[in-house]
Amino acid sequence: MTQSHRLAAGGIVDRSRTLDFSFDGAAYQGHPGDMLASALLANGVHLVGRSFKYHRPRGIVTAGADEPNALVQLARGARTEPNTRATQQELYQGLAAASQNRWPSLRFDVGALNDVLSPLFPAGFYYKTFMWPPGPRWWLKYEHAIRRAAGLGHAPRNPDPDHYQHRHAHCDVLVIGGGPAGLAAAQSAARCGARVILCDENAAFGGSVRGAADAIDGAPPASWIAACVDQLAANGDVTLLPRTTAFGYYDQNLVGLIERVADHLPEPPPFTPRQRLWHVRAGIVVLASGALERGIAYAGNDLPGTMLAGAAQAYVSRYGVKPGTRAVIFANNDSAYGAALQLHNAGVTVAAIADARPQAALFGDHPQRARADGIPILPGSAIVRAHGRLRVAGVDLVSLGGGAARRIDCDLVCVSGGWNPAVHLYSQSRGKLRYDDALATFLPDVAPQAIVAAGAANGKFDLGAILSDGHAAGFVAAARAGFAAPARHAAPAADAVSTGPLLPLWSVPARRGAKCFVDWQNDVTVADVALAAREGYRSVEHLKRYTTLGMGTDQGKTGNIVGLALLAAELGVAIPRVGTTTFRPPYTPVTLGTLAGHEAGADLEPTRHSAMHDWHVEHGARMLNAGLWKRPHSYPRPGESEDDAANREAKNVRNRVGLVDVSTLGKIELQGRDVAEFLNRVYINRWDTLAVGRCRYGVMLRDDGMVFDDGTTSRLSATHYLMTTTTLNAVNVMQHLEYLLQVEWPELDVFATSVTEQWAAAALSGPMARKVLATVVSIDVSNAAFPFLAVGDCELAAGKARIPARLFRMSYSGELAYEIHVPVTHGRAMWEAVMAAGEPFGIMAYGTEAMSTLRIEKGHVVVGPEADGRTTADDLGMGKLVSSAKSCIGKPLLARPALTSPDRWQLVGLTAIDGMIPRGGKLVADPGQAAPIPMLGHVSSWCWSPNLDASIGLALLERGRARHGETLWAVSPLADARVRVRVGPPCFIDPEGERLRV
Amino acid sequence: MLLIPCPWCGSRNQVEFTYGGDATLKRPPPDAPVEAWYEFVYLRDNPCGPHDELWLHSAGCRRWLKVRRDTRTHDILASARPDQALPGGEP
Amino acid sequence: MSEADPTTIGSTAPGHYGSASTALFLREATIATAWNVHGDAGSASLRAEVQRIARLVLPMAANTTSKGEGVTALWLGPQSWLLVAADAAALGDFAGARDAVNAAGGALFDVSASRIAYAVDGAPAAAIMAAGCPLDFHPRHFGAGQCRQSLYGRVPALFYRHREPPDCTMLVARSFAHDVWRSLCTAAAPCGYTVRAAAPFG
Ligand SMILES: [Zn+2]
Repeated sequence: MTQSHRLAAGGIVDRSRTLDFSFDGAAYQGHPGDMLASALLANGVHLVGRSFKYHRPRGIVTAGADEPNALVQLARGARTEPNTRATQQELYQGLAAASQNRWPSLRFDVGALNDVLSPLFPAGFYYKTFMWPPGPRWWLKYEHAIRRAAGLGHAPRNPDPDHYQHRHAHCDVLVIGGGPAGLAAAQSAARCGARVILCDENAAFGGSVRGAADAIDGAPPASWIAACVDQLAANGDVTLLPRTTAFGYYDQNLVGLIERVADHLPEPPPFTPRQRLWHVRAGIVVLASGALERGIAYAGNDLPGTMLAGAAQAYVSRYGVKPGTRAVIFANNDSAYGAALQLHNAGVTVAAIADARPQAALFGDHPQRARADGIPILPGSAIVRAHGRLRVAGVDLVSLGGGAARRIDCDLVCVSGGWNPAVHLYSQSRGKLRYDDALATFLPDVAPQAIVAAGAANGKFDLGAILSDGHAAGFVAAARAGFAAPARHAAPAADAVSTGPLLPLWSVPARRGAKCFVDWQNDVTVADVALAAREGYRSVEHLKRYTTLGMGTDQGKTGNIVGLALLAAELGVAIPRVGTTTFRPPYTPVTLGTLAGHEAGADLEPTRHSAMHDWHVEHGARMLNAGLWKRPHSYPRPGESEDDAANREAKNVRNRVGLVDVSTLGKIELQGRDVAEFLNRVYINRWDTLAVGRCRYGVMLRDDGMVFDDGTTSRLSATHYLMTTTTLNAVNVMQHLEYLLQVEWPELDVFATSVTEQWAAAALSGPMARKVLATVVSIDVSNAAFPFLAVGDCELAAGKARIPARLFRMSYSGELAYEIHVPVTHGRAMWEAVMAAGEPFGIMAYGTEAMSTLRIEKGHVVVGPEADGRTTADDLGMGKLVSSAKSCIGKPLLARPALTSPDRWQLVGLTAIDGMIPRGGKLVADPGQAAPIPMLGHVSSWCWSPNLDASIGLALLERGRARHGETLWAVSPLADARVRVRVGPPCFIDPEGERLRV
Repeated sequence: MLLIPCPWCGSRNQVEFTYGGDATLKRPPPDAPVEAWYEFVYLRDNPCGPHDELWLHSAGCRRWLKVRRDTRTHDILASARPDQALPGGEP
Repeated sequence: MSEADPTTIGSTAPGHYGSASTALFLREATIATAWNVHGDAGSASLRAEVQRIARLVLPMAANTTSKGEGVTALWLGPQSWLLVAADAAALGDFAGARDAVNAAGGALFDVSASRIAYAVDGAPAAAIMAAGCPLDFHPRHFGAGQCRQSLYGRVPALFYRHREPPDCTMLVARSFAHDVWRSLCTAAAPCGYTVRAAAPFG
């Protein structure tokens, strides 16, 4: 199979190897080094897609990130990706691509009727048509159909098989863009000793100069580039990142880069991420991102075979591809002559150069060389219309001075309306732009962040000037990063080229109804811009929203400046008065998987395991999430449901003994002379009376008086205390205490540190708890020696080992209970020792579900369900705990009338009279009332109590304490449940607390 | 992502820090009138420009610090220990 | 080399994993004792007491460490240090030391089991650290004898360089150990890594 348009020599492709690929099912061949676009052009394929709105046939327009048309769907199974720019997708063996936005085929597309009907589809069509008749329902109805008709490719349906990585990086100088300016900048900055990162979106450095005819330092550019890259690669403080796009510029010089690690391969090699997101914190950024060429709008300027002149030049010089056989060039500046010469030298017939400028402006070296080579030059003329259906077949040229149009046949039109520096990242960095009249474009001006532009991005378009600008920028950047320049070093040099001035030209007048495209991707025409201006969209931001100019995957890289220049002309104001739309990240689209990086699937967030985690799993526990922790919900036996398991476990605690993992509780140790005073200030109750070897329950409030957290605090020595917090609030409480100690009360002599990670903890509960414990600990645990709320150190026997342990006599279940804390490294040994010791007594491990049942039976409140941020201590029945002898955090605002009202919702217990209390039920007096039914309260916790054989719950109920004995309804419209409940005190079992004191 | 200069550790990424709110508030004494407490707990300015804030270097030295941040630009203008004044007093 | 399956990324069994290169080594660095000292850095009595207990001078400069006989002191903050010993004998009885430090106006917390340490050695070490941590691991910014607290992924981590770069040791809370180890291994798999048997810290 032949590549009909491949040149015999030239470019960076490796002709010794061929790669097979397909496009819309047809088989083709290309070479390593090709982009999909260059390989298609090498096979004579220009038609690659249909436009977004009118479904017009479209071809490859650019050779880079600015491509508006050549968006394809890569078919790689689960790896399929829509909207891939063919101009940037490296060819690999077996690549299969399909065109988008066409049905049934690219050559015959039914949607192209939109083009015929286009008078019905002006700018703002959707807004105008579908917002009437008024009311959102109509819009929603239409939106469905519009969304289906719109859209380009399709998203993958299967899970992403690839993985992605993130990488943080720091450098003194980040050089964005590895063309001649970027290479020169990296070289001079590295010479100063600065740490440099150089990134470029292409696989090879060198940018547009690679393959160009010019000479650098007297050598072909390729050899200068190779020497430069070798030198940089040899420097340990230089990081070279090819295939890497800088997509976002954030605060304090943080720049986001996407490294396409494996996109040039059929699939990533083993262990290799597909893409890597770099977070680069740069001392200073050298923006050497080059420039993007812009078009000129004329009728039919979107026919396949129409290309920006610089792109045509790149396909010849970089890829050794002839993009056509007979070309017409349309330009308003000298750069297109370089393209013309390169096409001419490659054997393409350049039928004419239509230059909008007068003869007097064509004195530059390149126009003269073109003239000398016999290329016909038509000064003062323009393309007024292109002919053709699926490919350009000819153009009508007119003299701007007047006269009849003259047709020239061609299969390639190369357009250059001038160049726009790629200032996207400069603008994202909050840098200001200024309008340059001579170049008719916006240039970097001043920036609050440390960034300098160099080369074409800085408005330099002559190779010599680009090299010296980059070279100087590297030194300036290194100096600003604190690195002195070594002995003066000359910039790389190129032959000076004399260049004539540019003549701003944005569009060529066309007959009524002809389409002159400004923005190819969004099908925005000159007429659309004029319509928007007539209808009062005078701001460029409004123009964008109204016409969709500059939206889509290319974000108007080729069309934006043309569009705003046309708007300025319509409004009769200068271009800088209109300004640009805001540049926002990303510069080119970024895959969501890359942003997620490692944090996907099982690694979505980090998980915490207690020391006993593996034991739980080995013993059949169903684990659930509690914050980041994994905790056992219950330990179902074979054939047993989770609920039955939890009921069995809860019953066993009341009747015999159970062991639960409470390692996840927050633990904070406090030392210092003023700990008691500090505790007095942070808890509602008193702490100066707590003796060594004792612990106490405490409640903390927020400053607004609502309950914040609860737990126990133990006095371990005269100056050493241990506080526990709820699992979910451990981090917040630590932060709160540190805030108070460091910001509010630095005079207090208190030091706090989190020891959550130091101690594995288990609660041993049930009437047999003491008997179990006595067999494994070294101290007397009788009621007399170790009474309720006692704390002490001991040793715990685990086989032959003696584990240091802290013992606490406290109870959450309401039964005789102990908490055992051991260093985490002994956690599993402790757990196994206690389980073994408990075996003769019928011990069972229990999970959080049984723990919850036990606490509901006891009416203990939990932060979250009951202490929901809206409840005071009094609401929860703990008003008496608030010490009157002292103040504390939250107390000053407790006296507000609303917080002392008798109508407040207060904690009560509920017992179902019939049925099961519904999850999240609301309490009402009569569910048969006409709506809206007054809500009296809500169920905060509910469970089946295996010990009471009843469905019970806790609730917050208006004037709840005065309603004990009443019958209400718990209703849940969601669960379609209505259950009669009896209101009573929150504690269902042993309200006097005799069991836990035995 | 901001780069925040911790007065103790040096400049660190924002991810190491936890935001702690307005640093210009003064906690009233416990016996202050309820109006003073109301103001302290509920009322906040929303300045356009420099704003003095508390941050906790939560993944670093675990010290609280004051940071002056320009709410328009995210520029970090200064930082200080909680017991020190930011340069130039309150914004 | 053991017969570990190179594709079981995240295994703690010694052996080679990931790509073929053998430039990177991961292992646990075992810790016997870790005590957290709190107190006023300017207090001569506190410093003297710590010197008596740990036979080293507390590092006063941010992000630095000091070494005594079998004990390393890492700066955690202006009022906080971590004393780490691989051998339990190096630091003696906790309760007595705590009372002595309390008497000198400071605080001493036993956090021996709180953290697990992973040593990451070899040329790619800095890149592996940078896969999860926003710190700058360049030798000019993070040399031997320095320490810093930051994050690995979203997990708080303490980084310590007891030798010249690129080697680095990171300490993370024990509840996160499995998670961080897997993150390290995933980051290391593209370049290949060898898991070695645990060895003492320092
Ligand atoms: Zn800090």
